[in-house]
Amino acid sequence: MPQISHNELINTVEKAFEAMGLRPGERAEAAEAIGWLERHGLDGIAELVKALDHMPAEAHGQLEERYRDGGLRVFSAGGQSILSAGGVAVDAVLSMARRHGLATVRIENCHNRALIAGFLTRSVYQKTGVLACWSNRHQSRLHLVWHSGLDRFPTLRVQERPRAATADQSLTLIASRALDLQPNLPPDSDTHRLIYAADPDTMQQAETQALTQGLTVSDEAWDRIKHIARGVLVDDGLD
Amino acid sequence: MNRQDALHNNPAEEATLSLRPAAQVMPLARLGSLFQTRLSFTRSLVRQMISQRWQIDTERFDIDDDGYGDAVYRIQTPGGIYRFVLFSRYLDPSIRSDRVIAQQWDLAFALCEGELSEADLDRLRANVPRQEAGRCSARVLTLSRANRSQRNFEAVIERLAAGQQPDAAWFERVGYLYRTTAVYGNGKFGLADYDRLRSDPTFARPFSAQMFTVFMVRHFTLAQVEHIAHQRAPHTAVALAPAVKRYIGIGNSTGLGMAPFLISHPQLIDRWVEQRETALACALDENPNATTLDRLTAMVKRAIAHMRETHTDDAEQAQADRLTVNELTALRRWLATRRQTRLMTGWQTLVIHAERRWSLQTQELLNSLLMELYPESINALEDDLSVDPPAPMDCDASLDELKRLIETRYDWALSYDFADPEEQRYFWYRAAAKEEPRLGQRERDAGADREIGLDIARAVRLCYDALCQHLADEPQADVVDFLLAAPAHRAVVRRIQNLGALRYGDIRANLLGRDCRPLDLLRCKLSFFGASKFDPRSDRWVRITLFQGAPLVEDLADAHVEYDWFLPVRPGQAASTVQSV
Repeated sequence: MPQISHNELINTVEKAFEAMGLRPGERAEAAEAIGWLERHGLDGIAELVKALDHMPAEAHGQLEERYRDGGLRVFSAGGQSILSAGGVAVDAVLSMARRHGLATVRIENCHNRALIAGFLTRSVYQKTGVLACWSNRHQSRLHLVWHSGLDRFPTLRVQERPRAATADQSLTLIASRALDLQPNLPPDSDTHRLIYAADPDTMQQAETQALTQGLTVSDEAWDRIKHIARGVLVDDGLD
Repeated sequence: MNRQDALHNNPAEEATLSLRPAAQVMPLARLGSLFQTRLSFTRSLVRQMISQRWQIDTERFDIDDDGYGDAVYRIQTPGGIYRFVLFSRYLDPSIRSDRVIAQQWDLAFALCEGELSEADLDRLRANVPRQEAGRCSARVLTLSRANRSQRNFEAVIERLAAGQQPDAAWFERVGYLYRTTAVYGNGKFGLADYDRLRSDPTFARPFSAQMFTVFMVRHFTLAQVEHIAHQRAPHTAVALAPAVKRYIGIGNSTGLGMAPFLISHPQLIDRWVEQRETALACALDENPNATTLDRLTAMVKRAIAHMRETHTDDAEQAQADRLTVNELTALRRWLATRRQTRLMTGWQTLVIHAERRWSLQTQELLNSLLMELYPESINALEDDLSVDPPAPMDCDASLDELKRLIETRYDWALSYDFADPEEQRYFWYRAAAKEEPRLGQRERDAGADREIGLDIARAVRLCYDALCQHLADEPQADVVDFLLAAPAHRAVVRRIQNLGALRYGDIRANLLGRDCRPLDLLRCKLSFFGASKFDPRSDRWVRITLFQGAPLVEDLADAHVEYDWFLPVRPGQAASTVQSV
C-alpha cells in the first residue's frame, strides 16, 4: 500500500473534486476536510470512497432552504453527499450563533454525514461550540461530533441507539457561544453502548504519526482517486 | 509578536516606516523587475549556515573515473542530522533536456532527515533517479535533479587536468556546471509535508530545505570536476582556485510551473513582500553619511560590472539591462555630487529621483542596494517569512461590508473590462504531461473547460456583480446568505476576506489578458529565492543562476566573516568583492 503525504492527498482529492464538477471554494474545503479526517485517524479516504457514489450529480446542486425562523434553519441536500455543502452548512450555524443563544441547522436528505467532522474545525476561529449529530437507520447508531470551539480537536462518539426506527437521512448542527454543548456521554464503563470513541489525545497522536510517517492508503482507493483527478488534465499534444 | 503584528498593532511605527502602497508594489511589471535582496532565501541560508556553524562531511564518494556513482554527505546542524544523497548516472546527450517532461537526468539527489541504513539507501537509489515516477518517504525533505552544461563541464575538467585554472570569463554567461530543473518539496511524491518542515529546527524558513539542496548539489559538482580531472591526470591535475570556485553557482531552468504558486499562496506572498518592503522602509528611514555613501558608491560600481556580465539573447531583457547600466552610471554621478557637495539629503530623495527618471529594473536594483547598507536592522526580518494557514471565511459579515471591501481593496480588479475578449485571451491549464501548468489561447487551443483558477481579477468582477444583484434584492443579507444562493463565489469571497487586512497578497494583474507577461511572475518568485542573471529563453521560461559567488562548504567554518556575495562579479575584476563587511 503506498505511503502518501497529507499535501499529496489534499491536492489529488481537490483535483478529483474539480474533475467531478465541484465549485472552486467547495472543492478546496471538501479536500481539506478529507485530509483532516485522514490525518487524524478518522478514515477520510474510506469515507471519500463511499461518498464518490453520491457525488456525480453534485456539480450543480446546492442546499435548498425549507424553513427559517430565528435561530433555526432547515435545508434539503437533495440526496447528495455532505461534502460539497458541509462548509456552508457549518458557516450558517456558526453565523447564526453570533446572534442567537442557540443556533440550529438541520440538513435533510444528505449522505456521507461522517465527513462533517472535517468541517467543524473552523469553529475554533469563531470560538463557538458546535455539536453535529445524526442517526444511522441501518446500524441503529447515533453519531455525535462535539467541538468546543476552544481546542484544536473535537470529540467523537458513536453509540447504540434503540430508537433507530425513527432515524432519517438528516444531519443536525447545533452551535452556541454561551452554552456548553458537550453531549451527555455514557460512562466509560458502559461499554455496551459506546461503539466508537475518538478524543483529542487520540487525534493528536494520529496527527504526529501522519507527519512523521506519512499516510497509508490502499492501492485501490488511491488509484481510483488519481484516475478521477486526471480528468482535470489537458492533453495538448505539445510534448 | 512578529513584525507584521507589531506593524498592525502600532500605527505609529507603521506611519514612521511608511511602506510603499500595494498599488505601487504589486503590479506585475514591477514584480517582474525585482532583484534578490538580503532577505532572499539563498542569502538567508548562507548566513544561517555560517552563524550556526553547520558541519558538512563527505560520508561516501563512490564516484568512478568518469564521475558516475553515488555520494552521501552528512550535515550536522544545531537542529539535527541530515543526509544529502546524490546519484550520478550516464546520460546520453541526445536525451538531455531541461523540460519538466524529461525522464532522465545527469544527477538526481535528495535531502533526507537523520541516519540512513543500507536499506534506506537502496530505496533511495531505486526511487530518486526516477524523480516524479518514484516514491519517497516522509523522511525525505526534498527531491531534485540536474543536467550538465556540457561545454563548461568538459572545459573545466580539461583545464584542471592540465594543471591550469579555467577562465573565469566562461562563467559570466553560463555561471555553473549544472542546471537544476525542479526542486520538489512540501509533500510531493510522498516527501515530508510542509507542516513537518515548518516545525523543523533547521529548515523552518520558506524554501530553506530546497535552497540547501541546491547549495549541496553545487558542492558536489565542484568536487566532481576536481575528481574527474585528478583521475584523468593524477600527476598534473590541480584543484579549483577558491575565487573561481566561489564564482561557479548552479543554474536553474524555470517554466510556468512556478506561476500558480504565487496566486494560490497569497498570505505567503504578502509576508514575503511585506518583509521586503519593511526592509526597504528601514533603510530609507536611515540618514546617509559619508560611510554609507561610500559603501553605496562601491556597490553601484559592482552592480554596473555585474549587469555588464549578465548576458542574454532575449532582446527585450538585453535592452533593459543596457538601460540599467546607463542609469546606474547616472546614479554614480548623483552619488559623487552628493559626496563632493556634502549635500546629505535622505535616501528618500534618491528613491524619488529614481522613480522619476529611471526604469523599474533600475529602481528595484537601487532598492536592493539600499537594503545592503543596513544589515543589522534588516537581517532580523528573515525569521518572519512564514505564515499560518488561511482562516475560514467570516460568514457573519454583512454583504454590504464585503461589497465595500471589494470596492476599496480590489478597485484594480474592477478596472478590467471582461466584455473585451482580449482581457480573456489566455487561459491556464494543466498539461497531461507531468501536470505542467501551461498557458493556452482561448480562441485557438482546447482545454479552456479545464482552466486553472488563476483568474483573480475576473473572479472578483463576477463576484462583485453577483453580490450587487443579491444586495438589490436583499439589502440586509449576510455573506452566508449570499453564498447559500451563489456557491460559485465561495473561493473568491474567502480570498477577499482573508486578504482584506493584508497589503500585498494579490498580484495586481489580469493573468488572462493580452498584456500578461508570465515571465514577470517567474522573476518575482525567483528574486525571493535569490536568483541572479535572469536570462529569458522564451516568453514562457527563464534561466537563472543560484549561489554564484556564494561561500563554499569549506568557508562555512569561519563564523566571524560575513561573505558579501550580492551581485557577483568575475574574479579579478576591480569591482569584485569576495568577503568583508
